[in-house]
Amino acid sequence: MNHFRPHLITLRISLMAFVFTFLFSKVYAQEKAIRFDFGMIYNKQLISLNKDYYNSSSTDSFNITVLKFYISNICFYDKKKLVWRENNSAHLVDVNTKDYFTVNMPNQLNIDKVSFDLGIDSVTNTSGALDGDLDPMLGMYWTWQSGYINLKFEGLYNYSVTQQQPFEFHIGGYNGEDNALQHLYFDVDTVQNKLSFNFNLDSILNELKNLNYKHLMSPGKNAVLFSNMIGNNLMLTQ
Amino acid sequence: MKRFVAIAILLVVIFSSFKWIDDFAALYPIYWPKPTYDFTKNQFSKEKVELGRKLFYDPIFSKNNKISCASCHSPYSSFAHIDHALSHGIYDSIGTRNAPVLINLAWQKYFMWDGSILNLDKQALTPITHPREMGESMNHVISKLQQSKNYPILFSKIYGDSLIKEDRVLKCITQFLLSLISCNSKYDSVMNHTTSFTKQEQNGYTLFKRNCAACHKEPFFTNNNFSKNELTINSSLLDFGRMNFTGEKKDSMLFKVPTLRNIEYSYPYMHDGRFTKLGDVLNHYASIKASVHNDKAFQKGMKLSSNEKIDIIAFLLTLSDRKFIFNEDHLYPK
Repeated sequence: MNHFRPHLITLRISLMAFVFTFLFSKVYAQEKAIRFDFGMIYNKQLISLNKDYYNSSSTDSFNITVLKFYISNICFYDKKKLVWRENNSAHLVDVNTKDYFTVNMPNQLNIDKVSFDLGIDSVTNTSGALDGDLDPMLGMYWTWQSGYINLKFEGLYNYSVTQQQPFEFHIGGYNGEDNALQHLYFDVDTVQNKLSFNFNLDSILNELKNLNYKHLMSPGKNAVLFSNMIGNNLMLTQ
Repeated sequence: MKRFVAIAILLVVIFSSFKWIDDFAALYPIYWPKPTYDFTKNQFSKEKVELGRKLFYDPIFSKNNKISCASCHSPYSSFAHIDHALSHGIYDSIGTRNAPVLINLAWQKYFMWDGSILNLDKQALTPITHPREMGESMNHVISKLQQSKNYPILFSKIYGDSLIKEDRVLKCITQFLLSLISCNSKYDSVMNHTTSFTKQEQNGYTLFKRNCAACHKEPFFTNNNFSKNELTINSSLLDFGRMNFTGEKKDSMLFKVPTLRNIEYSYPYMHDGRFTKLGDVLNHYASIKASVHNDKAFQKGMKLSSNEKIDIIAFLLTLSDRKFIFNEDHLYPK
């Protein structure tokens, strides 16, 4: 029986190594789900759609009816170095129906910054109509020429009981000077399971009041300016 | 022998001159009625359909060269304007009505929500010249087409000369519109006996026939007529429907009965896009109280339980035709 012993030892070592490698790899291969939540804040309060809100310092009131937008090309960084990028990254957020999405990334990564695009980039736009969240039947696609709508923001602003101003902003455009895509960066302290982003409505509605147009539905200079303004007012709140 | 050859040639000419009838008939089910469109004045031809498709997707028809027919009639929403209550036009202007689907138009008698257009060949003129839609004059469109690099060549291939005339342009657009035939939904498969409804869909179909089919008549799911569907008037649009066209008080709030085919893809609903969900539409109809003052279709009222509404919606979803939506022959020409 002795002549079998070396084989048995080898077998045991191999088995242990396999189990160890398997467990070790499982630990490192484990994915972490990070939830991205989106909403709106006005006067330090979370805002719901289709509800009237009043400005305490004036007679103004408003009601937001639609807030839909694309978040794409999600990247995570550590010390200015890209550590992970989501593949096929495009998520449609509709504050009325689904105001969050989840990304699965490797577990053991140090992260101090996250970035994403508010909108759909030119490569995806020129790849033709796609499926999933990019399905053109979801109402976020103009035509072959104008591409995807990056963001829809609609509602009603009442300057007084008698002066009502509906607004409708459909922001998009990917070509040259009309490119309205916003590339946004946010510092994160630690790797959290949930990142909450909110649009600062105080600032957005102030800007909106000063605009001499209340409808935008095609690419162009105004769409780029509006897109910049919206991008600057998206905050990471936790 | 000479006589035989002459007769043979004559027969070939006769048969080939009627080929367009077969070409169009091949596009729809054999049990559908004959089209109401008068093809004798605009014989169906695949070449004209292709040119019409190119024109349909070209923003050259708008004043600022940015809005095409497809801007408000996207193939992905059965040629309606998905998720837009009202049509959008040049310089971000907003129209007064919801863009309807463009399907099975060869069987329609009236066009536009108020039925103000009686001939499909003339329909495109309205959006082209409307200041809130394309805001262009047909003369200027013709001039732009004539000066373009490709269109004179394309027209020449079809008509034998490069002259671009209003009549030719409109008839080519019509040809493309006529080719938009939706007949491959689950409902159609059930009618073909190649599949069957689920129990819920069948119940929905029975309820539909009892409550909705008087106006939304099979197989096109419209009776090609007008109805007062008891909607309150939108105070900012002040759209009185057919009365805007006829000027007669009896036509106030009469709107064309739309087809329900591909209804899943063509939200929002009604002439002003006021309802975003099918459930909202059914809730509206179920809320109409029985009254002799109502339009004939609604005089008895429509009593539907929550489950019955769900079953009707299940049936309506069988009218979705994905083959049509993703038919490459309808998409932007590459």
